[in-house]
Amino acid sequence: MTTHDCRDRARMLGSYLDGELEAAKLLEIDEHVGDCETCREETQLLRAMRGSLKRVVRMPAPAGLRDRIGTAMDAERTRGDLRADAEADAMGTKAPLVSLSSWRTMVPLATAAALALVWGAATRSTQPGSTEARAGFGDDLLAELVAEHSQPLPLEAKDAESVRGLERYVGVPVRPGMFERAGLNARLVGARVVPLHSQRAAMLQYVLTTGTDTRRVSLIVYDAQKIEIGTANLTPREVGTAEVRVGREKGYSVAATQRAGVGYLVASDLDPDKSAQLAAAVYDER
Amino acid sequence: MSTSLPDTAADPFAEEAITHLDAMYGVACKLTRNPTEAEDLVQDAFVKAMRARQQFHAGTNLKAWLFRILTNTFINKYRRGGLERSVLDGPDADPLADGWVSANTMRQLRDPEMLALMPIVEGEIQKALDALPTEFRLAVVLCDVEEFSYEEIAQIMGCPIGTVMSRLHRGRKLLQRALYNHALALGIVKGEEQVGTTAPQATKTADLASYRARKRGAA
Repeated sequence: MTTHDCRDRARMLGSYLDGELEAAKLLEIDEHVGDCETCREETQLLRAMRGSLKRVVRMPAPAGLRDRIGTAMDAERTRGDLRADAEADAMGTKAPLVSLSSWRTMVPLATAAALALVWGAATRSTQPGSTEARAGFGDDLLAELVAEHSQPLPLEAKDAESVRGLERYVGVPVRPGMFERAGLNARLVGARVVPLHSQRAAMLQYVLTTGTDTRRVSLIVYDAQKIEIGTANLTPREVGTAEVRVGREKGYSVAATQRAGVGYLVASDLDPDKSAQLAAAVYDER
Repeated sequence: MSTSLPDTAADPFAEEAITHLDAMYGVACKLTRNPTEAEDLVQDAFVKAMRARQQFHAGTNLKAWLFRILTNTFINKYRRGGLERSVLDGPDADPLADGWVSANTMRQLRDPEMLALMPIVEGEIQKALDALPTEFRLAVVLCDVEEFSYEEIAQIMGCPIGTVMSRLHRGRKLLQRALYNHALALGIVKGEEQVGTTAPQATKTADLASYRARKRGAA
């Protein structure tokens, strides 16, 4: 074999080793490699390099990454389901949404029953506001927040100490009794770390009792220096001395406030005024 | 349909997707050359996959689909508009002549004696790989490490199969040259006259020139 033949064939050696040659070419190259020392050595060198590349490139993902991605995928699926629900709702093809499967496990049965009633009412009330809700859909923040609130992931921290411990994941203080000083009857159910704009935030879930009315409230605490929330769909409002931004999404109300570099987001099925007061109450506490 | 349990184990799609995490991470490290960015890239890709899951056809190749998302995410987010340009700027201006080292030298490069030097050699391969233009690096990694078919790589990279083949060929040649130069520096192999920058013999020059001319004409 001449060098000239080898040059013509050299480009095929890779395809030959990759198993990408058609039968006729494969036989031709096979025969050539048997005869030609240079091409034989080249194929063996290519094989050796392939082995080295595998050793160099393959590496296990860091331990925490799998969990982080699992959580992020869960949250994304929840959002996707919400979008699907919104579409189904808009088409009138879907039964009223009563999604308590995870929440039910966290509250006493009696409360859950009361909650289901409240929820049914809240779901029905989304119909008139559907245009408004759609307008807010472009803002990921509202959708994210409402997704976390309406279909919460299992809670990680259920006692005061482990709730405080979330600080080390989110980088800002997390206190169990965020609403205590406001004189509200808010019972902490639990908390967990949630993704918010690709960063970590803490979500605390409360059951708020006013007379016989029981509602649940989600409070997200995040590092306002790391996570910048879009406020395009939120209206500024003053509650006492606190500055709060308020909005609606899918029949839920959302209120945002900040203090000392810490951001707070309240999501509830209360009306926006109440959510604003809750956000302000967090503000006053600090 | 919307009230599935909120944990990954209850979702077959998420469960199967996450089995490719290590492979995705390894390739992401090679794309970004930065472990922290690789983590972000992989997370973005998985979240996008979740968002676009309706577009995935069950029974088709999930791994290739995920890698396509990974590649697109990398191009869009980390190197917006950079991929095509670097093809033109790449070292293609100086293509290597095929058969540029002798059988003897190639044998030395992969000789059992080299095994003792394996960590050094593989460190060099790592460096050489990192130095490759992204599309060569990606093609080589997808083919040699993840063992995707040419057709799958073409889909992942969004280019024709012929382009995949030429990227693979050029990428591998560049790796060989880096390895050879390294071995030469270490004194593992002896220099060969026709290689690289050393003055080639007259006949070789003619061959090389005509080879390049043919290549340009074909391209």
